[in-house]
Amino acid sequence: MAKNCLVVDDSKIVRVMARKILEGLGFEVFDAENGQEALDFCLKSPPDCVLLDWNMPVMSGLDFLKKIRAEAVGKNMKVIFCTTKTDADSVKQGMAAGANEYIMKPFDEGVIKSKLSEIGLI
Amino acid sequence: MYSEKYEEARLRSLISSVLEEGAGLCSPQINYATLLARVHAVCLGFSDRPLLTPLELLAHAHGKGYNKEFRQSVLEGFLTRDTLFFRDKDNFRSLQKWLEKYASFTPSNQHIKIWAPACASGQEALSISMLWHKLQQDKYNEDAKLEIFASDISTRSIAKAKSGIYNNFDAQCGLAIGDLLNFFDRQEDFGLWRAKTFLFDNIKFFEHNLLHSPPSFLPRKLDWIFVPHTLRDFVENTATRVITRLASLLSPHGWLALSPSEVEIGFRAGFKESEAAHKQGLFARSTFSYPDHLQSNSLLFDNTIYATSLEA
Repeated sequence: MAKNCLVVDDSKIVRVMARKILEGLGFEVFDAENGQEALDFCLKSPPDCVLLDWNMPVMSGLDFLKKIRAEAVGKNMKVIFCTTKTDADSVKQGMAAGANEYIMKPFDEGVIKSKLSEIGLI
Repeated sequence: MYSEKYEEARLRSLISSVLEEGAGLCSPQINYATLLARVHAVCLGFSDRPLLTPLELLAHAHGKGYNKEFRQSVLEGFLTRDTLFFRDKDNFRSLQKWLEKYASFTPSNQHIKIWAPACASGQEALSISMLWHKLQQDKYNEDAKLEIFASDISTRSIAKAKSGIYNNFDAQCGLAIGDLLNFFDRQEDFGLWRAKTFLFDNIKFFEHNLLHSPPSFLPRKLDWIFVPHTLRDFVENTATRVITRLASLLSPHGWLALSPSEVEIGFRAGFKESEAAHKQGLFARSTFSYPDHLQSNSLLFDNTIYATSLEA
């Protein structure tokens, strides 16, 4: 059965690009435009992996991560931050909140592939 | 008047001859559009005026008599540079296990020696150095010393390797975020990362063509040779010649790391595959013996025992 990934980003271009890359790697892909949409989705049907932007309207990626990690369904979900917040403090904050890996935008297929491999999903 | 197909054939022939004669490499398996893009890049860097068509390139090449600079420029333009940190993770895991065991028994006056003879822009050598520093942080043997020799035929790649500067894409390929933050500094230019200077302390980068004899400063009893994804690009006879030369540089207990797609090449050269690393491309010398100072710990290098330790 194909693994699935939820792409959470308020940028349509990023969602489309990530979808194409992930589908090429054999994933089933869903998307959400902000943390609240992602939270609702994950509580109903937790995906294998979440590719998560940080700065988004309604609910940020960081708030989403803290909330989902507090839920039983979100304890083991793999979460990769994918953001323009690239300073060391942000990376540490994101990892401390429970991210499994961290991508600094811009990214390409090689980066996504490498990070998925790093967390054991491919 | 040249037809397009004729032009393509001439161009491929020219590039092939330069690659094979200069570095023993096969013709690149790329489509015509990619071939033209690379040729154009070569021309822009090589010529005092941008050449626009393959015909002009041919004319230029002939005009210059295929001179040394032109050949080097074509080599640079067509060499494979697709690499990443900790590529072929299984081989790095094996190296880590080996280092943990071997270095524990290595006297302080004897250095562990590793060569990456096709290191491209340095990711492989830096990966080994990172691995070593992580092990050293665990203080398993503070007296152990590691020397990494890293070479490539490409002047441009070696210059990049020495600089240790990678863009945001390259820096994130193969590196966990923790390693990126621990071993690299963010540069002021957006999106660039520079490897920390201490990683270079035990690396010697140099230019080297694998068709030529290795330089005199390269030790003749190497513990590991890391050369994945390289021999498959050579024409068959040349690959055998190169791997035979590499074998002669390994210590009797040395290991040769190729890639999973190069297992056949290793067998052809008389290596035996590591039992612990089936189809991984990791080979031991066919004639297996133990280094003198480790006779009392010879079981450490028994393949069966080693296999068990790797799989544990």
